[in-house]
Amino acid sequence: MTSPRLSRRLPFFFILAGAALLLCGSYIGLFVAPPERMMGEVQRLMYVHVPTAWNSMLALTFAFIAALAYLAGGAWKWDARMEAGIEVGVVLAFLLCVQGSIWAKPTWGVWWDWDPRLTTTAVLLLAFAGIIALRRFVDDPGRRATWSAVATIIAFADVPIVYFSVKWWNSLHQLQSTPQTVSSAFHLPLRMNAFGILFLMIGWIMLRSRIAEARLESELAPPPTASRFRDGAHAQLGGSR
Amino acid sequence: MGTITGGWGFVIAGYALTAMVLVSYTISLLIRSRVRFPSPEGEGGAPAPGEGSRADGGEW
Repeated sequence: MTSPRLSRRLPFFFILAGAALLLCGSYIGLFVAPPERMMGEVQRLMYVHVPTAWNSMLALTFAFIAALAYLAGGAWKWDARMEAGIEVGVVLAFLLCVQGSIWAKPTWGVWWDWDPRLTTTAVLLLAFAGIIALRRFVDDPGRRATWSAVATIIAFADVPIVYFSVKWWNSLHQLQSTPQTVSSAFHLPLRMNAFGILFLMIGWIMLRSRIAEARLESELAPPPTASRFRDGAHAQLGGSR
Repeated sequence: MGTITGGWGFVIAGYALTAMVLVSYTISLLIRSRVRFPSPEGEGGAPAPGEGSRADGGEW
């Protein structure tokens, strides 16, 4: 069991560790790693673009798991975690699309192309942004949580489609970046930035969950005596819809 | 097919945009985590995240 002070500070440790890793990884990616043979210097965008893609899908996978957990158990904390996962996933997916656009212009000659990978990613971004909008429009916390959990499960079907789209269809986009498809000279900055954005994402989700929990507590607050919010023990957010 | 030349402008744009989004979202979360949400009873609002429950004074 972690102490309350430690758990309060944990998101900041993750954010600081993530920022440090990202700074080091980006320095190596920009100034130490060699340029790619065909794409030249532009390929250095891979060190931020690919980790953003991985972590965007991870955040949305976390939201999917939280949605399932909420529907299965009805604990409000999972609704808060789902909200956090969706928002962080959408921020990263938006960043992913813009980074990809900046990379596409010099390599493909266009800012955007309706190829399978890009189209499915745009659908993913719009679907989860739509769920955020849905949550804003529904005032009742119970309905909001159930409707958005169902919508999250449906929208999540697009995540594996995004991942496998480059294999299933004839795509302009390159295959998934793995140690087998990326030259070993590029591994270190790619891994450092992947862990950097992963730690940032974890810190963000923890912080964003707390914000959602605080809002939920204020919405659900009956007479002040019943207000508790601890794992398994809190009357409002622990287990009742 | 030859090598793409003059790509540094795009690289700098991509990294600058990434830094801008990551930093601004982090700052927005830090600011939002300090906000107190009003309670239905209007008694000063729920605690800011990480500051303990209004009702029992405990930690979150």
